Amino acid sequence: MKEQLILLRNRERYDEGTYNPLDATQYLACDGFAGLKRALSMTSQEIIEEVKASGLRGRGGAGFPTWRKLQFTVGGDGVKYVVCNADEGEPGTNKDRVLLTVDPCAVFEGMAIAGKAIGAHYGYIYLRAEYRYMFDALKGAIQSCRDNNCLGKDIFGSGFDFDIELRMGNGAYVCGEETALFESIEGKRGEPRFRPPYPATYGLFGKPTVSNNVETLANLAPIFRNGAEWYASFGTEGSTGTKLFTVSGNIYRKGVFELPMGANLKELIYDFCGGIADGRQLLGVQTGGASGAIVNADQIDVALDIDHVSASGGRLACGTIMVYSDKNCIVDVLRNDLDFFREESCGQCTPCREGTFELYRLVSKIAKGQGSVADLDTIEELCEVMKNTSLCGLGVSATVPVSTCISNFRGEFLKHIDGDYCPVCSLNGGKKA
Amino acid sequence: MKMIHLTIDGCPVSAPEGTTILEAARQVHIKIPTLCYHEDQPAKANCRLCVVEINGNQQLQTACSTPIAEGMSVKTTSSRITRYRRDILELIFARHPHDCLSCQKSGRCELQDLAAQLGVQRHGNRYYYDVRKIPKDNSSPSISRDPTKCILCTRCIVACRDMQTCDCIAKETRGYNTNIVLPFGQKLVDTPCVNCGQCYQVCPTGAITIHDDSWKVYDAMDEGKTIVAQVAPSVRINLAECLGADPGTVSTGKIVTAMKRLGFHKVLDADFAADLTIMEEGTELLHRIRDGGVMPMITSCCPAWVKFCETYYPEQTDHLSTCKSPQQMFGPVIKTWCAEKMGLDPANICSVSIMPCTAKKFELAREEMNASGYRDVDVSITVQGLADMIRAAGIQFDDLEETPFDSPTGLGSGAGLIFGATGGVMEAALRTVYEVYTGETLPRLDFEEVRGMEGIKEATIDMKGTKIRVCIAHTLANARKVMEMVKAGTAPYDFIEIMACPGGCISGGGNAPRTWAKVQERAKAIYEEDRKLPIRKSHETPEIQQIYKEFLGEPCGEKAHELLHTHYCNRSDLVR
Repeated sequence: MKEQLILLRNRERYDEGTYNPLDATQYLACDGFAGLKRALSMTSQEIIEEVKASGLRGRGGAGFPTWRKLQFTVGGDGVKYVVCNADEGEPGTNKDRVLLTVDPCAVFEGMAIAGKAIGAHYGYIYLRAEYRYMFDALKGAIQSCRDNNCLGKDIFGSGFDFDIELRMGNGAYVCGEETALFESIEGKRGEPRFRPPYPATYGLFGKPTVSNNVETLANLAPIFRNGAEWYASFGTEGSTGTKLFTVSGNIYRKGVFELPMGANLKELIYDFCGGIADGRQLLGVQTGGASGAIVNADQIDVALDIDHVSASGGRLACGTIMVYSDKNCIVDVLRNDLDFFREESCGQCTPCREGTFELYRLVSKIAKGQGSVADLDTIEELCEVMKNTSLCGLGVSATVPVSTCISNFRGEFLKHIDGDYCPVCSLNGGKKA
Repeated sequence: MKMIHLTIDGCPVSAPEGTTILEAARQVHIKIPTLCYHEDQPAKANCRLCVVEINGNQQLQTACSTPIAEGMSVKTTSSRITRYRRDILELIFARHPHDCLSCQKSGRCELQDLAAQLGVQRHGNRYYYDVRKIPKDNSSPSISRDPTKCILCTRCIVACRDMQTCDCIAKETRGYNTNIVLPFGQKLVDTPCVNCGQCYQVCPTGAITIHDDSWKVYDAMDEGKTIVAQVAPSVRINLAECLGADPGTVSTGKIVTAMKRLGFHKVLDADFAADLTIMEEGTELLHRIRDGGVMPMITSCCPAWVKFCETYYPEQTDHLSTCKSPQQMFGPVIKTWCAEKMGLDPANICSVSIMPCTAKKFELAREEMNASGYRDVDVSITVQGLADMIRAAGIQFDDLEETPFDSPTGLGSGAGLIFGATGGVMEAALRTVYEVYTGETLPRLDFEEVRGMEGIKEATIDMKGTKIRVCIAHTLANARKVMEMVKAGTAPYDFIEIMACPGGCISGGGNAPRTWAKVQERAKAIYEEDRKLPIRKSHETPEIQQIYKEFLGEPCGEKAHELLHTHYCNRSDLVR
């Protein structure tokens, strides 16, 4: 297994210090903005056809086909917006940070292409609160693009205007949800909106908006630079191109890696990343951050593409691979995830606000050795309610680790319920030895 | 209008485009359970109780927020939908105190009703019973907040922020710790809250309640005081509704009977005070026009509006009429002229007002309100409060005989009566101002152009060549729009009426819960009553003529100024 560097093609030079990603001229020198130049000569429909042919799907979570998102927003003369979602809140994910550090101009290029496709002249980048340190640098990079006529008025003499503004988040996980992100940009409390209306008709400031993840937008640059056919030759049939994976946990080699879609998880863990740290055994893997499925050691022989991971009950989502060794307790892992969700639910809708807390409490109860099998039933029912009635994706995805973890590690839960001593949980108030 | 065709629970339904599933389901006699939904407010879709299944999708959608679509197939009930709704309620109950028996809202609580309707008791309590540990806020003279009972439906926020633009309450923190709070840990009394009670009007639970001051009346009775009550014009429209009748049911005589049974010694009609207000305010307007006073003149009979003006537009208080509100005009008159007429010692009078308003509780406590040498009004009871007293006494209100109001004030004019509806004060004033100014009889009494539920209404009245340009605004959001014009000096008006509550006093905070549909019914009733009255102009009321002749001298005269006029203060420090 080997990295396929498309998005991170300048990483090596950046590491060496020979590439300044904040200088648009350096990006231009390595064929940067070639994709945008090509897109500027195309019609809106041609651009969307090209995206369609590339098979690009969203890299933020749901894996929605990008061309369809663009298609929904085409038409009409009014103001529209392109939003770049850089609120990388999923625990264990760093890919957007790496992208924005190594090649931010590729993201700007992608935004301008999306703008050209739907007829938007303004874009927002919503930056995660923790990435505040990047704010000034990115602002400088945008200015450098403007100075070189890559952004702003009359880009490359094509007559098309597109400009980008940076906005800071304030630390809410839920603001990664696109409608909550809009509310936050508008200066309101970051709470998701109900749908319909969808962002394609009523988005940022009530205008049609297309919002995409940083990585999705960055992918548009190589697609238009090298053509859809070239791009579609990478990855698998349903999930083309490459994917940035953030690997962390009890594993030897950690970091952000760019691999073709469809890479095998087992190979990734044991070959590419050198296996489990400290010579321990693999306990389980969580793909897709805190809201991803938790699978056990027997279930890791899967291809990491959008459809295969969905089939296992989880989501490839942002490409987060969290590896747990047998030094951890899976009940404790789940308790920790739920602690996160009960804090980060926006508190707007009942099932998510109260449900995430109740799930946390019930799992904690089991971890402490005070649970019962009836609690597992309650958890199951609660997950069903949250999944089907929550206002936004947070309440839905918070149940994913719960239901997958309980079905894949049922024995562990029953052991805790039976009151067996657990060395990990005992540190968190569980039964003492 | 484009019609959309769909099926709801198998029944074909057609409704105009833009209708929500919730509204369309009414057509087939289904009332989908709701909690955060309020028919006057935009959909919030946060309680998730109204979830329905659309086109067989696993993921449910909220009926309150989802518009109907052509060919849609909606299922509003099934075993799983019912189970989910019950589970959601169960989750709410895990955070809500289980003290229904001692809750002021018991019997009127939407949450309690839903619990009974959906049968939430089936599971017992599977979830962790954990009530928020936030103390009750009783600091306001009118409104009491108990955050432990809050279910975070955000109806109050919409009322306070969007309708009244006071923005006193908001959500704080996230997730499980989300609360609806006052900013910076303030008490309600320290915020720009104008005590309008519209948050109470929309609150589905006992989280926001109005202070119950009936004990003050009972205490005064025990102390041997003479209880003299003034009953606001709109009480006759609203009281029966609080006791279960249809909106707009008029019960003037029964109210007097019931109050006499409760032990009130004298029951006076505050319609008289409204007439008195018109005499003073109309005269003040004419004086301002004649002497080139500060124009436009703005009404001051709504205490919530007055506080709003003092808070947000302190430099514009010169525009406010110096007249007190009818309650505060009647207060000193009761303890002076009426006391003498009735042969009572003012020191031994407990003056009680029955009001549709919650801000009146605040107003009577204003420092300057002691023109009679005593506190002008001692206690203010809301319509709902009086209904509770009647209910507690076991009085069968519907079957009561009718009793007339006590003298010396008798029955007021139709002009005083319509004070209760938005545009009413304006209309009443115009009836008098026109005749006093022109010296001629009005050709028509009904000023239709100032009636209705439009947010801001404008009209020009021709008084024999002199044109009076008037404006009527209700809800404070609309008041703010008008005041921005006044502030900029661009308001093209001579006389402006402002009422804080939507629709006027008939939808005041102290009434039965309001919806626009109910307010329309109440307004209809009030104008019908006006038409039935023998006297429809304030200056033609015999008792009004009598009080000026015997006691006050002339309108806006020295005595009148001492008792019936007031001054304003600057409360801008409440805004931070």
